[in-house]
Amino acid sequence: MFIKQFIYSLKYTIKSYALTFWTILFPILLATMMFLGFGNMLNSEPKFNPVKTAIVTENNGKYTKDFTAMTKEMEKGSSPLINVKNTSEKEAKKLLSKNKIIGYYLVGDNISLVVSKTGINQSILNEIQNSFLRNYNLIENILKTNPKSISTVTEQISKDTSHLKEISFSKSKSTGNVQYFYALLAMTCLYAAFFGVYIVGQIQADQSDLAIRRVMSPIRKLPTVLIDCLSAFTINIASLIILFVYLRFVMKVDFGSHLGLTFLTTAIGSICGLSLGLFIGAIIKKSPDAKVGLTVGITMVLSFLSGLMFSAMPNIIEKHLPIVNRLNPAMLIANSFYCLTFYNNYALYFRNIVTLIALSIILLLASVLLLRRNRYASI
Amino acid sequence: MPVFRLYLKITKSRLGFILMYICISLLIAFILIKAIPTQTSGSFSDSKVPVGIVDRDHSTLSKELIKYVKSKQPVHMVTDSKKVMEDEIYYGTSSYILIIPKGLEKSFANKDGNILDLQNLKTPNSSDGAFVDNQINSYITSAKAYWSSGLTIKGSCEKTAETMKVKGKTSILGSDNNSTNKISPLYYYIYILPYPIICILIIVLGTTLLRIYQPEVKKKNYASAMPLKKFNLQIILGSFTITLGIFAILSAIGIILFHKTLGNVNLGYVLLNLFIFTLTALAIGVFCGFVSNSLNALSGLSNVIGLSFCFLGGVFIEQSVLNPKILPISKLLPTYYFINNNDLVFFNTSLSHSNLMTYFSNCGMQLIFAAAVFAIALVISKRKTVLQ
Repeated sequence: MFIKQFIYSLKYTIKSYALTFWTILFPILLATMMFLGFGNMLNSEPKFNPVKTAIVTENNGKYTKDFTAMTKEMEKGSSPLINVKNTSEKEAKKLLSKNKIIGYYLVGDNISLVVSKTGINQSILNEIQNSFLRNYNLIENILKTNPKSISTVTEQISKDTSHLKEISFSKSKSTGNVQYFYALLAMTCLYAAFFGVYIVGQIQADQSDLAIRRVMSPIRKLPTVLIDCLSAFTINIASLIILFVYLRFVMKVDFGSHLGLTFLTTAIGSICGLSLGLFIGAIIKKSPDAKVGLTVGITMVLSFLSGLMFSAMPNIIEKHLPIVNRLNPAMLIANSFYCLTFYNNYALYFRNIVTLIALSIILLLASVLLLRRNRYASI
Repeated sequence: MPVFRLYLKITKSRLGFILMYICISLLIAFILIKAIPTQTSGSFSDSKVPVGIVDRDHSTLSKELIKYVKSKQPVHMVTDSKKVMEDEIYYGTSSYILIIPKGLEKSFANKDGNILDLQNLKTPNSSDGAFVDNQINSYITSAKAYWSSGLTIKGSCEKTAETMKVKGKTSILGSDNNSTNKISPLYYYIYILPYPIICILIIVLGTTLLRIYQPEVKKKNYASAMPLKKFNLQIILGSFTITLGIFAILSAIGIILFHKTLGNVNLGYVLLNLFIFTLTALAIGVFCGFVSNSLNALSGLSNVIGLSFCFLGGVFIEQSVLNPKILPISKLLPTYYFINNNDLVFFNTSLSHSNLMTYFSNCGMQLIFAAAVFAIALVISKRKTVLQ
């Protein structure tokens, strides 16, 4: 009986095209859009994107020769810091106003930088100009105080490239952009909420014809709902596996090496999404369309706060309202992936998972309380 | 005007959606305003990266280095523990952790001239990391050079501190360098509006058109005494009224909340750009109303179109980091030109002739997009009518 009902429920749910769209097609479409937007910035070993700049030089200027030589050096190597174009001032202005370059240097007897706005890439260009001027100042100072040591000093300056060694606590070398994809997978987990809303719609007699039949029939509500939830969970997990395979093997998004824990995260995330949907379905007394609309809105806001549209968002929330990060299920799911990929810190990971389980239990209990013993008048 | 009244009545049934998206855009705007560091449109200021420092050397050099980094970035000292450092990066308290190794100062005396490497923990290959790297390298290079010239460590640090004060001149194109106007929060508010505007207009206009152009309703309308021209005119009037309403509400919220922070920004250009974008969203909404056959499909279309336009057009991913291969596609989207104009108006205290040319050509591109989508929508509507 159980298996028969489970198969019927599975077939019935799969045939709902709206659910199939939201849980399978939409996340894949969104992942593709993100991938197209980021391009090769998602590769497992990304390269620094050189800052595009232009140099407008004045012949025989005090700094012209040295500054040009220094920028040429910076263009070389496996990870160049800048990408330089020699142009006229008019051309540089045009390139800057069209956002083709981040800024341009005017080099002659003085050096100045022109940018279109404030930003981190503009700050890098500013720092390059400052470093050059400081080295100049340093050499002038040493020429004044100890000219004999100038050859040692100039050798030192020209030899010194980097005094910093990058360390990492994990093997992953992905960029911060993977946060978008973790948030996307978290959103898909939460999209199990659509199933939750749908399931509640099938047992509320004022919502659908099937619900009227079910309410009238002499079967108990709880086993029916449990079977519906199990079939919904199966479909959602299948859609998550499809998305995971697409992200991991087609787009090469790094999820670390803890495949089992990654699966556990998606499964618990999916249960949390389902509970959220049951709760929305139970508490909102509106039409099925309105409930779906509200679910889209709620999951979208939660996903936005977890960095789906703006990867710096979790950090911002952490700074101003950290409680939101501790309770937002999308953030907890995305952070769990983050912990598994970038840190070997299982304490943080399990704290997220325990919170997700607690949230799911609270939402489930609230839904049960709201749904039990409902009676419908026959008008 | 019965058709017009019906149009407004159907729109009223979607009021919940409109309010939800307005609330979402407001929430996003408030978060962005709180979060994004204050920028200036008149004068240039360096970006700030939160840096955590672990000092294992506790020498004169390390203390002076920390003092220098503090003068450049928001710095706090971090306990020397792997767990604490992981937490720092995880919670975003630090975007960059600098570890000063034990023996750094002593390594200046190494006979081979090589000094101990400092260590850092950062997002690999990030711009933030490259920026702080550059500042620290610059300091160490300078200190080492002064030390090589025969100065003591203390003397080298003092001289380096003086040298580090040297800086070049940086200006912002098309702005008056004497002014220090902060970028108005209205910039961020307007920046994120394409997503709610597209979603609202697709849902609202789409729902109305879907209901009015249902085959049965359409047949009844054809059979009624009202001339078809008048009927269509009222539909157009309804669509424009809703579009204007949405534009007015969203603009009014922005102006009421942020009018005091506008400074030298030309509000007329900001609103014109937003209005033109709302018109392109109107065309998209009409198109979706004609191609979709259910409310669920409209909900899907609104999110797919809204998110794709925002991801590929440079709303959610900054245009400067967009994949160069995808740029030709981005340039086909109105969001791309909308964002360009928004940047142009807010980051230039006065618009030069060439800026204005760019501004109006961006507006033109948005209008061309709107016209093209509208034309396709009309063709689809015509074909549907013929088939029916």
